[in-house]
This record gives sequence, structure tokens and C-alpha cells, in this order.
Amino acid sequence: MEVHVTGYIIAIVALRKAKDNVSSGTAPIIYVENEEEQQKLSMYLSRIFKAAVHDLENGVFILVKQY
Amino acid sequence: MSINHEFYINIVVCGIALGTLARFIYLRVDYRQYPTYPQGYMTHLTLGIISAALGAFSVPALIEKQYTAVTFLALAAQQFKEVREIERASLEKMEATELVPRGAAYIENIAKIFEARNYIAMAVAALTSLAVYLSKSVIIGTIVGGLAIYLSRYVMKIAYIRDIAEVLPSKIVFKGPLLCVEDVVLADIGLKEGREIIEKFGMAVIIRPKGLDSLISINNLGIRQAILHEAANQLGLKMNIDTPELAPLTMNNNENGDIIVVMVAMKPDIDAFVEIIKNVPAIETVRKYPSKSRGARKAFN
Repeated sequence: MEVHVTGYIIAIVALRKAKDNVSSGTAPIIYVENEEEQQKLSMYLSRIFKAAVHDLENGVFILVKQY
Repeated sequence: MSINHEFYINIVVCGIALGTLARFIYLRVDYRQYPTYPQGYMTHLTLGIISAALGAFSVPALIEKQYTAVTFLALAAQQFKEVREIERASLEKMEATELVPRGAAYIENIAKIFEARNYIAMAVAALTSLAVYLSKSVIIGTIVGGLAIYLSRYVMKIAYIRDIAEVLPSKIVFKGPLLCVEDVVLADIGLKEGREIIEKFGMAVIIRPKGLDSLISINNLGIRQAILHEAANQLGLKMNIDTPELAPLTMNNNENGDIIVVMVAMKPDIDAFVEIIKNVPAIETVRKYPSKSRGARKAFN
């Protein structure tokens, strides 16, 4: 059986106060101070990587690129 | 038995003319079917003439006991299979350029229809030349040919979404970042900007299958992809390659088997959206008929 990667996390944008909710992995973690900055930064990254931003509602945003 | 030259010409010309006409009629302008460009018309019309000629010549050849003519028909069938291959290959090549691809099922369906249309041209031509030969009248032959073209519409008839399901307008509701339609979660939209655009320009419809057969068919990803492709290509998308959150989506409601379609269009006209989805072909090659199985009937009753 062939195995395809259908989507992977490009980056994680997390609030500094939600630091405990993320740990290191394959994707870089970017810490931000507030939600406004989180929105702005994840928007920039989304446009750069053409990836979708998903809100996990615990102060962590993940950017997922689909193939 | 031999046919005199003039009669021979009548038989063949009449057959070719009606066969080509059949192909020409099926070449009508349709926003849905490719080709939409003059070269495409030329290619298919030429092939149509060739297939009509094969059909038309087959009858006098057989009458004159030239039985090897049958092998030419086999050759023709091979040729038309190639037409299908060409269609498929060219549509597949264009997939990468589509924001919302057609999907393999839709491409296969289009390719098969193109192949079948050549057979129609051939059959109409053969029938016409046979009628001319038997009746010894070009007029009767033409009438028979015309009737054959008319009846071929029943063979080539395709079902649409409106035949197998109801299409109802619905509303998009955001629960936090979650995009929901009728309590079904379709996506998680993290960006506030994306949510605002979806709230403003997003449309949602529910496709409610009419019976067991359509319930299973409509769940096929090929049909769902075809719906997205058609809707996106007719209403236009707000989406760009760097805004994947605005991509059109389908999701099934696992409680009742409805399909939910969400799209962020340039022109958010819900009536037009419903109309377009109703007129998407319910791809024949992926349709299932579980109602013909006793086991399935038992399970769903």
C-alpha cells in the first residue's frame, strides 16, 4: 500500500501564557504575547506557506498544509 | 448482389450525413462539457464524420458480401476507445491548473460520454443507410435516421442531482472557530479575517437524498468533487492558493446522510447556488443501486 502525506503542521503559533499546551515537535513553535498578534502572525504565515490556520481554542494555532 | 453506382452513393451519403448530424447535435454548446474551444469542435466533428462513414459503408459492404468489412467496425471501436483515452489524458493534465479539480470520477464520466457519442454517430449512420437500401428512398432513410437521432437521446440520457436529491438552502453558523451547518462541524477556521469573509460571502446548501440509492451514491467523493467543481466554476471563488481556509467544502451529516456543501463565492447568490447544484450531473459511473440487493433493503427498512 502506498502511503501519502495528506497534511502536516508547518508551524505552531502559541500564546506565551499557553506555553504548557505545546511542546517541541517537527514544527517550529512561535510564541506571541496576545491574541491580536497571534492572528496577525498566523495570517502572515498562512499566506506565506499557503497553509490553513486552525484554532485549537487553548491559545494554540496550528498551520496545516494540505496536499 | 450488386448495387448500382448511383444508389450506392445515395446510401452512403445519406448515412454519413445523418451520422455526422447526430455527432453535431451532441456537440451542442454546454458549459459543463468540454470542449469549449473551436479546435475541440473540429477534432470531434472530424472523428464524428469518420465514424459516420464507417457506419454508412458497413451496410452496402455487407450486402455485397464483403464480410471483412466487419473487421473495420472492430477497428473503429478500438479507435473510439482511444478517443476516450485522449479525453481523459487531456482533462487529467488540466487538473493541476484548476483551483477546484474535476476529480477522477467526473473526468472518467466525460471521457465515456465522448466515446459513446461516436458510437451513436456510427449506429445512426448504419441504420440510415440500411433504411435507404431497404426502402430505396432517400427521404424514408432520412426520416429513419432522424428518428434514430431522436431515440438516441434516451440512450444518452443522464441523471442530474435534482433527480436523485433535494437541494435546500441553509445557513453557516460559527461556534467559536468552528464552521458549522446544522450542527455538523465542517472546518476549524483559525483566522478572524477568514471567518469574517465566510460569514459575509459564504453559502451553504444541504443535499438531501431522495432514497436509498441516492443516499449511497451522493456520499461518493467523486460526485461531491464534481459538485464543488461545477459550483466553483460558475459562481467564482473568493479563494486563492494562499487562502486555503476559503476552499469549498463538502461534509456528510452522519445522522441522516445529507450532504452539506459550503462555498465562499464571488457572488453569494444562494438561489443560483441551489440551481447550479441541482444541474450537476449525477455521475453515472459512480452511482450505486443497493436497493437491488436484498441484504441492503433489509438493513435500511
